[in-house]
Amino acid sequence: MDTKRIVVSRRRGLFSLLLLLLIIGRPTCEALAVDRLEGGYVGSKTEGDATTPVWNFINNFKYDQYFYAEPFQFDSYNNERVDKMNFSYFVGHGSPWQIKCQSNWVDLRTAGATADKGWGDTNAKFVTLHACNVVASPIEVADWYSAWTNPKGVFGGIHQVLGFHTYASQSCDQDISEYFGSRVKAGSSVWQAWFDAIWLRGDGTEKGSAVMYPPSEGDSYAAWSYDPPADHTWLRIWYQY
Amino acid sequence: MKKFISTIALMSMTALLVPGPSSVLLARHAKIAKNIERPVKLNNLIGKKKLETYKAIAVRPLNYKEAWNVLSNIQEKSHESVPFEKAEQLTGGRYVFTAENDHSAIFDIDPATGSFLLNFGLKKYTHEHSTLNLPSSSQAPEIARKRLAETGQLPANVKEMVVTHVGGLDMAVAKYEFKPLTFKKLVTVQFGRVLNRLSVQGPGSRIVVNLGEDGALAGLIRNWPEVQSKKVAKSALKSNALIRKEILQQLRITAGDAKQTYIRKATLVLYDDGRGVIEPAIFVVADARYVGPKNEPLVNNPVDFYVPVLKRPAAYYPYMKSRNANPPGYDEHQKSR
Repeated sequence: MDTKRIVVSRRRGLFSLLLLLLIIGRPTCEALAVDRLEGGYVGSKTEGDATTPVWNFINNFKYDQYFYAEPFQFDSYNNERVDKMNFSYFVGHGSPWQIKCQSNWVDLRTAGATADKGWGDTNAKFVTLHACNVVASPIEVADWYSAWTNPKGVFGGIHQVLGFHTYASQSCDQDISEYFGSRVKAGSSVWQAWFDAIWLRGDGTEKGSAVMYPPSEGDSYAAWSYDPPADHTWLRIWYQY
Repeated sequence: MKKFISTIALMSMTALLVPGPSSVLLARHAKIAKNIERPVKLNNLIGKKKLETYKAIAVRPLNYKEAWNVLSNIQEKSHESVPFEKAEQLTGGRYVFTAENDHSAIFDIDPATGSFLLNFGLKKYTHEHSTLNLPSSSQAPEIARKRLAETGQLPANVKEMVVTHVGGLDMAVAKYEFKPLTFKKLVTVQFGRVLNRLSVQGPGSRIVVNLGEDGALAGLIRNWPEVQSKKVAKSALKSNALIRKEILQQLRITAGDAKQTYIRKATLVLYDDGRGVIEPAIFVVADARYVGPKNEPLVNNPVDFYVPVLKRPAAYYPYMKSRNANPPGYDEHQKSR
């Protein structure tokens, strides 16, 4: 065997060894990303930065809609906007069951009263309303549920609606949505990942809340349960305090 | 004129009496004056305090096996045996260990810093009854410290660690015509950090302990780098006048179209950017009252932000993150309506 062959043989041996090490030394795999239909809705262009938190969520996906928020996206035209998406993410101002869009407020207690009905009769599974106080809990009000499930409410087949029952800090919202997006994409259970994100990145005073059809409690973005009936009045809320 | 002044005074006093951040100011019949700013106590924000900055002491990055060992050790010490059989490495480098039978169970660790989030899973808490033997809010901090000690997760200097909040996680159910029920599920203890007698805020420097049945560990967040301090020269600080100017500028940007703004708090704190830098900053909380829906003429949505006090800040502040986002589009449907 001449010197040249020995060198080539050693190189092959080294290459094989490196390949073997690469295969057995990498016990983890790249995240099995979930990517379906996602929409981002920015509540305000001029009141603080609502853009970055929306962007930090949808940027985890190949998102399908990304708009400044308008009321019709949530009520009269929702079949082509929020209800066309599997996961919608809104950031802006809020008050109990109400969100502030560019032009006006949307009252979620009656947003399902148009011909497009509520959310979930078309496609929506999860909606996050990243705004102060929107998802009121039993701490604030005894009747926390009928605003969602009344005949004009937005629960028309949607699985979960996430938000806050307290004020939401603007200093933390970019970080919360960024972390939450990464967990949703990785296939974590949805509302549980939302609460983890708030515990991890929130300011400690803002508290998350999530209303849902109870059988969809274990849903992830990778695997979700059957759609709830459009007219159900069975609701569960989880809330931090 | 007198009527106008008295209206403003009445509204300001009402604002002072408004108890919480979620309050809604019902001023149906009051005339809305635009952008009334009441900057309070913005004269000497830094005071005579000798300030310090802090840098996280670099740690050797963990490999997959070492990350797994951190999880195994905590599980063993807390007598848990959640089968975290699936492992992934997310974009950015985080190792994520999850369980097939409960997608809320997760161990998510940043190998570069060792900071992690651990949730043993919430599936077992979904029944319609309260968790047995939950610790009371007075017992919980001590039990949480005990769990940290047992699992080897107490910080090196425990004097830096203070309880910032004791709360929890509850669940309620409304079913058809039955009376709604509420169930207590977890108790949460949040620890914050105090350095040089200043509280540390921001995404870093926190420990969150979730306690379940019999006070057992149900979840743990540990983001607590050990740090080295460095004195700040007076020449490195902004003047009070400049800080005041920047607070008002930032308030205008953040509050946008608010009809009224009122600075509720402007406090010297330390800001931990979660990337290894802790430095002094002013934390501002202001009430911002916007034109509300029909039944609520003015809605208070408080705003908060940080203003660096160093002339050359090294921390990565929230307002800096805004530079990376793509702007959204205007909805074309609006034009066709």
